[in-house]
Amino acid sequence: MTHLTFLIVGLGGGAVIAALGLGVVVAHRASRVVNFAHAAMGMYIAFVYYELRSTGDLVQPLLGLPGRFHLIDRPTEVTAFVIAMVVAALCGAFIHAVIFRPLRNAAPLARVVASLGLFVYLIAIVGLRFGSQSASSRVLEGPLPNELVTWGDIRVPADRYWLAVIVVAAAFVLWLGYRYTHLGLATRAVAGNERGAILVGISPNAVGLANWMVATMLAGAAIILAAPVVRLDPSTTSLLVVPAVAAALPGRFNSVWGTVVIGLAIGMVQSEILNLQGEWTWLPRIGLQQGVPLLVIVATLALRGDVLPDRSSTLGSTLPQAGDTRNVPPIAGLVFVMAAIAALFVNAEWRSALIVSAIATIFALSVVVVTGYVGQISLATFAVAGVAAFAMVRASDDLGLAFPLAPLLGIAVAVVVGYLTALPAVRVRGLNLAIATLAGAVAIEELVFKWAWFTGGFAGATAESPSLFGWDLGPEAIGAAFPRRTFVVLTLLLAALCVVGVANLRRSSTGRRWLAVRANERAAAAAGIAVVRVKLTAFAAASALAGLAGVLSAYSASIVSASSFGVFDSLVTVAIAYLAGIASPIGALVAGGLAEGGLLTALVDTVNDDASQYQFAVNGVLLIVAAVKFPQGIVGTGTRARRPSGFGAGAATDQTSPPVNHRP
Amino acid sequence: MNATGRAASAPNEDPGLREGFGLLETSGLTVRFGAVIANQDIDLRVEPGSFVGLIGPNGAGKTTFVDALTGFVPTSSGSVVFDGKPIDDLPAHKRAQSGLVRTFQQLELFEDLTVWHNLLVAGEKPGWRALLSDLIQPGRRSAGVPDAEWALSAVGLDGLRDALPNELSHGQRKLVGVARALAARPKLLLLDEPAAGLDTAETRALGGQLSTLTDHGISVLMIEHDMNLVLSLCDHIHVLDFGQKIASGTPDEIRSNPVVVSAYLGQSASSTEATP
Ligand SMILES: Nc1ncnc2c1ncn2[C@@H]1O[C@H](COP(=O)(O)OP(=O)(O)O)[C@@H](O)[C@H]1O
Ligand SMILES: [Mg+2]
Repeated sequence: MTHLTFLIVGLGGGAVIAALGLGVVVAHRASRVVNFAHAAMGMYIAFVYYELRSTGDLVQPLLGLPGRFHLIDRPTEVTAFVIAMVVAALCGAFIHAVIFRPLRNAAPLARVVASLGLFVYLIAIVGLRFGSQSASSRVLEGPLPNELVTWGDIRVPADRYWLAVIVVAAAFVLWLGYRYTHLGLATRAVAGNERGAILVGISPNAVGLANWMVATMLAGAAIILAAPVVRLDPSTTSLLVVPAVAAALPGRFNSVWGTVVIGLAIGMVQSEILNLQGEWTWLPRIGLQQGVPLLVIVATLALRGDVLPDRSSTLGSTLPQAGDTRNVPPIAGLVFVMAAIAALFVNAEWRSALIVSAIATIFALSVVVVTGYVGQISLATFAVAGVAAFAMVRASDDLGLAFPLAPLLGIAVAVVVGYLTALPAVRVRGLNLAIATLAGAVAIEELVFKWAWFTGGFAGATAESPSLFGWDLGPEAIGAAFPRRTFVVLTLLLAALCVVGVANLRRSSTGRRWLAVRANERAAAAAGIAVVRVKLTAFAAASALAGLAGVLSAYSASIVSASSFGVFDSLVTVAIAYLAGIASPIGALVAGGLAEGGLLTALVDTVNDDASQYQFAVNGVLLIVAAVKFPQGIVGTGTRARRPSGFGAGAATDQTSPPVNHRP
Repeated sequence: MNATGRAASAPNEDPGLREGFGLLETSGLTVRFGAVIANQDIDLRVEPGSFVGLIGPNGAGKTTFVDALTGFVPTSSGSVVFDGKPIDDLPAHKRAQSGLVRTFQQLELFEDLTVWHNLLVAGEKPGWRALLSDLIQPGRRSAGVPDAEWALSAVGLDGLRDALPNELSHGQRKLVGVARALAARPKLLLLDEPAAGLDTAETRALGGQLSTLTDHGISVLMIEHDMNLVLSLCDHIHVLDFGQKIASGTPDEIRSNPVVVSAYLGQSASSTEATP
């Protein structure tokens, strides 16, 4: 009977996944976008609800306005829920109007980036508004009853049943709504053919607006009701979008019932795995549950997709132009010399900022290679970097390898792991690839980073300070001498060499093949280019860069912790690289400067002590603005745009190739 | 390899050919898209050194046939032998590397690369060490240079080396597509409507350039609607209709074949008048 008990307990988690999946479906129907920020939206609304319940304060999400104001003394559950739903509807309307409506014809990458920007922004804003309170998961009293219900031998908290019933009811209402209401029919008309819908008098804007309001309310309700079951904290809750996407993916983000069934099933299987881990002691004690959505995603994508896109797939790269890089080595050299000289004179705070910026530059280069140059996307950059860092510690602790060998082995392991996370890229592209790599990153976080042997368990992993022939290269020192200047210069040097290396690859045969694949996979294959090998080589190169960045951050922190290699950091890196100029090594340099804790932070800190806490939120805003308005990024803007029509002009979705004079 | 190298490696030295294969030989080639049979039981042979035409009304399955030959769509049944070897199991890029190179009906250039680099990338054959040597020595002379230079001058575009594709006219872009295919060292060049969208003068110039290819040892299979071009260049013509091969023969035979005339030429003649 325990099996059944666990399966029913899993209904709770499954219902959350299903409900979030439904919201993903609604948003996708409205705007053909997979909203990575969907669970983050629900997370914010849930914070609004629980704050209302405890203090009666309304917390508003717009940066620059007062964060909270007192609304009502001790509202009841119903009042608080209604207010939270009103806030959700307003947020949905705002998000639609400001972000996804302007992007409705933009390239997939622009939409992915915009939703990442929203994700980053929401997590940052909750962090700002709630401070340290947000990080600790609080014990929450949800609106649903949770006393134990006995049914035969099975005793399960009542809210599990409630959640399942509510999500099925919600799905039923949605299904009826899409089938029979005016709005539902209009949504289906717009999804089928936007221009045709306009002709018969349906306004796609109104339809999109209404759907986004519904989606946000669904997200908020799901997290509010389920918060006692799934915990509420900004990043973990926001990452529930991964199983939600897994539930919606098999039905192509369009099937209401498919999403509910798969979502519930994922939750139940995850719960049963927990049971089996108790019964079968040989099963690893780690987050096998998180493997379930990954499995669903990989299986779905493996059955779909082709090694080459078909004739009808709309082509044409909508990434910024990848300019010539002949002038990059001198610029990188100059920047290095200036930074290295500065490192000799500045104080500890600025030296740390230099290290952070140098490492962030290497991370950004990894994104430049995969996304800027090859047109693929990976959201697993930091997961790969973390693997390198831990593998390096194992290599020096367990294998006794010394300085250059241990980090090199760590990087080699990262290349292998990065290669594996990239395998879906052989068959899937764009958005689906983003989903697959995101799921891969979450799986690495849950499976590998929670593996006590690999990460050192409680004791943690300590990176042995690097030294060569007795020459100490590490950052360790007492007091204001930390971080040591040698390490700063070493890090700067490696970053500069990576910039030059990527620039060199860009302007040689490797770079030409990368750009050929980025521009047009079919034409590349026709020209004899091994598209699959080119992609995987690029992922391998990017993984090596991420691995190097990982071992350097391990050295600079000395204690290696999984929390420095989270999925959130990967998203932020893609985001900042995009913002700075994703198709240019100089863009990566700029991204390094913008990174949190880097030179910009240090600069802001010297001006105003507490301004830097806004940096994340501001980055999120900038990112959305960049995706909507300046696709060329900071470095590219001002240079000549490659296509007169630009990025947002529908090049990726609705346009077919230029008219060709067909004679019948 | 350069232009003289091409001419020297005469195609009929290949052992497979002595056993009586053509350069390209398909038997029973069938392609289905769901219920649509886009190609049905097509047997077609291209002799080395020949210039072959493939004609048929729109939707007849010509592009699909080239897609199937070059590995861009899976075949449902039938087989393709190229240069004496069966190639059914090879992926698209291996088929291109073995000398079966195509162009696209729709313009599919590498928009981020200059004309010169569009050609260069098709001529380069990278090894596993390319990544490392490119990292250190980016300026090294590319192995694709001779082929790319030859291809560029073969289509007469030397002046546009450093232009980006979006700076070119439609006709020039078509020529770059042909040149890129030539830079990949084809034994058999498959052209999918190379003259579509070109004006009369451009078409005539293209015809002049294409007519020299067989002298360089390159055989050609050309899909084209412009019957003047087809009749003047090709020494053998195959006709497709509704996915099936309905006729083949010399230009004179095709011109006078009643089946072809009713299925295709008549219709084409009348509509060419309608759209000058
Ligand atoms: N990827 C595809 N999926 C479904 N049908 C296709 C696909 N490609 C081509 N077809 C169909 O195959 C038939 C032949 O098309 P095509 O080869 O383009 O003809 P042609 O090049 O002679 O004009 C058409 O009916 C077309 O609609
Ligand atoms: Mg065609």
